[in-house]
Amino acid sequence: MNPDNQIKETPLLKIKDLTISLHQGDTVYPVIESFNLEVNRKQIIGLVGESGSGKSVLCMTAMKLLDDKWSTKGQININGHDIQSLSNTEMTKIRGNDAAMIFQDASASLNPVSKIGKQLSETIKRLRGVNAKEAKAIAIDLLGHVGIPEPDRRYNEYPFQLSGGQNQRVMIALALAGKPKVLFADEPTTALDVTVQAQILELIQRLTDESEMGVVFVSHDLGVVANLCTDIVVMYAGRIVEQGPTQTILENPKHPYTQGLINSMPSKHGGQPFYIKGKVPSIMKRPKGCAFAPRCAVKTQACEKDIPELKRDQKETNAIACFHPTEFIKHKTEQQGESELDINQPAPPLLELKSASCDYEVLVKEEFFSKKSMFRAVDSIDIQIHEGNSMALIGESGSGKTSISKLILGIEAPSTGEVLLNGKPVPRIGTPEYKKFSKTVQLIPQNPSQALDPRITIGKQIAEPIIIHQLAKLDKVQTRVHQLMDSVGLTRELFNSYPHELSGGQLQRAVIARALSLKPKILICDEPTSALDVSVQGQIVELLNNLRQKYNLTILFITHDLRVIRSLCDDVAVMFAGKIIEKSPTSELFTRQHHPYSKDLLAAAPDLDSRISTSVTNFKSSFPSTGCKYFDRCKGSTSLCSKIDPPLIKTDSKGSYTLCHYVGTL
Amino acid sequence: MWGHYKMNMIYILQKVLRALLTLILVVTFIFIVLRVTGDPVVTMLPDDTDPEIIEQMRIAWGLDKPIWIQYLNYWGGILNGELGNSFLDGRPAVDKIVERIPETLRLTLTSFFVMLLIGIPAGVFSAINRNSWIDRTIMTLSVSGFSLPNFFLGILLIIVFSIWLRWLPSSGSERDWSLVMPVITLATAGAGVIARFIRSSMLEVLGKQYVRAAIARGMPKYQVVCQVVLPNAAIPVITIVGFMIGTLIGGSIVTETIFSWPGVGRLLISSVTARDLAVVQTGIMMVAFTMILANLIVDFAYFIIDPRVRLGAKKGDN
Repeated sequence: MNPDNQIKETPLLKIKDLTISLHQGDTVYPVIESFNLEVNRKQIIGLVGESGSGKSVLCMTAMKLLDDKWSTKGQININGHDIQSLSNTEMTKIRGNDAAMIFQDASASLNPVSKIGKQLSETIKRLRGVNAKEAKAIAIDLLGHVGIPEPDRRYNEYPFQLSGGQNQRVMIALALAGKPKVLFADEPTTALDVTVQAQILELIQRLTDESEMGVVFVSHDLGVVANLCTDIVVMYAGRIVEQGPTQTILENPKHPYTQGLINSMPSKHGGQPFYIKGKVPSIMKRPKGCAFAPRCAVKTQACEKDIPELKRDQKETNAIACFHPTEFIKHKTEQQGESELDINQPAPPLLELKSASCDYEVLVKEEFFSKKSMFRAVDSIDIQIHEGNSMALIGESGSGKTSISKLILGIEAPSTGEVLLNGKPVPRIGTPEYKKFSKTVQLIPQNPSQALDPRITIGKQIAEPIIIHQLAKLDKVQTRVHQLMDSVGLTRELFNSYPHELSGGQLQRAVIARALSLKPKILICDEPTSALDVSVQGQIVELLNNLRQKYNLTILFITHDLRVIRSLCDDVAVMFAGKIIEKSPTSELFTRQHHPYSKDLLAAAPDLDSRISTSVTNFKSSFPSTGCKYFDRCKGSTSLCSKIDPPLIKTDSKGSYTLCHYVGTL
Repeated sequence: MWGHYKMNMIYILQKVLRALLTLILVVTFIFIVLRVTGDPVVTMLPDDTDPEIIEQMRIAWGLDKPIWIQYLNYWGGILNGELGNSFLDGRPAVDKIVERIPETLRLTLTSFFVMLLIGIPAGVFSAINRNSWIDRTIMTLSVSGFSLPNFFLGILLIIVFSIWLRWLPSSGSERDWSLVMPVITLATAGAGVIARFIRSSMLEVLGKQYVRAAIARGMPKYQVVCQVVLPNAAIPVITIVGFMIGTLIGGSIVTETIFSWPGVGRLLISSVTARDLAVVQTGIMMVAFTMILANLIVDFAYFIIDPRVRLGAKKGDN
């Protein structure tokens, strides 16, 4: 970015001295304070910070989407319009035409009972003033432009018939319908698989260049921002703490918070070695001085007394709000791997899946009738996990990861093969043997707030399994719960709190404590960190790692985020379309991948150090019926791949293998 | 447009079969109840009737035969449209009911549309102006509307408009304004319930991200309400509307009696007092049939309004 050019241009978005406050009764809480920002043509500003820092509130305010509990002071100027002075009716004309917004969960952002084509062409009709026929033509054109395959057919489909990634493309098409000058993107890729995320990021980048928009891109994932944005604005507790061009912020951050964020980013090469302790203060309890001071390692008395001002450097490119800017020390990754050597004992596995499959009955639509048909979610899979070992199961949504956890938990019966625990078949849920079995295997689900009863206190919920299984005398139960809460790092005061009073990280700790109350041997963790902030993700992964060593737990960790498991799991199994297509020790998978899908998966994961690469363009929701399932998306596929199932090739002596015709040649 | 939707035949067949099964169960249930409550002949004839006459009547009505033959005969009668003759005037019960149906339909259908025409806009206005004086007024009215029992509201209306003000006729169905008070009596409770349900359903939908997204692309407020919020909010309310049809039919019995409305409801009440079993039995069957039909229509309404039902939602397809 050339600074000379910036001065001549009038910015598309200009925010000056903005304060946004929340009114609750008679109390007024400032949520965003003294905020300044300018966005120019073709500029993508990455707005980063943990949840609670006010990123989304800022976008919503700029679009005037907040209700009257919120008040705004200062100036917001979009494409020459001072939006503070506009009435609601006038603002309606700005939205869509001058500024547009896309949201986190695209599938929830589209009207579920209206066809995507209708939603799009109506928007085009209104924003461009064309007739219905022209609008339809433009809509189909636009759908193709954002990368929807077969736009003619998709035009007549409903949002629930499209995948999450395709819905996000439709949302982007809707946002672009009025050729806006400013686009607010609020975590638009957070809910998507890494491979889909990479494509959406590429799309946003391409469209920004083509239509010369200015983009404000909200994200908590620095890896995503590093790949996409021209500039970065780091927010903490409603204020900008540091801003500047992407390169300088990532390579030489001066603010301790930015440094902490960068160091806590899980990376493909080092896992997640570090995290910022503590959490963002709530808007009711913001400290008097620098809001980051309570979590800061270099704070002084001055930090606790006064709020540091955002000061620009000599070149006017970077700005920082800190009394003690420090030089950045990149956190070094400790090499692990010694503990992996002693697993070669020939002991029988604790958990074993022997060519286990899982079928679901699905209704397939035909001309007039729906036909019942079997869908094989898991296709004759072999897994062995030894006691105290941990294995990661990786793959995109729909690859069968969760179905495997259902097989192990006895929720689904295997359609073929066996699922064995200690050599004995896993009982089905609901059978008398299940109660005893459930003490051995426990599940940590993805969303802790849905896994806890909102009307029962945390303490009682942790106590519940202990009482059901009569693991302690009634007068000892509370002591046991206290012990459990200590071991997962929950303060004992939370015993009588209800789930809504706890943060996401605390809730996940409570769920882990409840699972541990039965002293299980195996924990099935189904994406336990994907709903959490990076700093909290780190805490939960560290907790699981500690607990694993302390109690000799066996862990099956299901995730779509490769970076999280680096420090936690011994082995990785990569799944695609119901099959394990590669299995190897974690450290080896990160350095050398044998299967093309593993390669693509690693290349698509956003990282600070390397660019995301998107090789995959061919995305179909169905898989070929014969041959290699990855055929359509593979760069090196041949006619052999389309006809014959790929063979299982051993890649080393320790049981690593991959399913591919061309191991070593691709 | 319609040819484009490939009707899911299994869904429709399933619903129709389920409705038929319910109908068979109801008809059987009526048979059992009427037999369990005592010998119809003994119930109908005076206490001092000669036992020989009772016996003759039993043979004439086929009551001396085994219960399963009676049951088959009963079904045979229903399928032939013969449900016995009225004990009062000897006319077929079916005729007596059918000639009253137009009047009852006039009352209940009008009430049904009045109920929707008041209930839906009231709920929508309440939701849009949440926590304002408009919302509070509408909700107070709606609570009082469905808290007032039909008979009480009916009598209240008669006292005010017929006796004090002398504006409206208090009974009968012949005059132009006869319909007004019965319809108000019948529709008020339903309108109140529907207003409340529409309001809460709208409020839930208003908080959804797709509504915010629609506003964010510059959709004007009335369009957001009509095109996005209302169709989504309507889906759960359809079930309630189905229930309300049942309440309307039940309520029409009371309302017709209060206003001396010459409909099926009043006939049923007078037949019950006169122990005219054939008419009561036929009336109950008709009411049950209407209810089942109403619920079938509700199922099809889902089918039309919600594409996820029509096209079979696949979950978790990413």
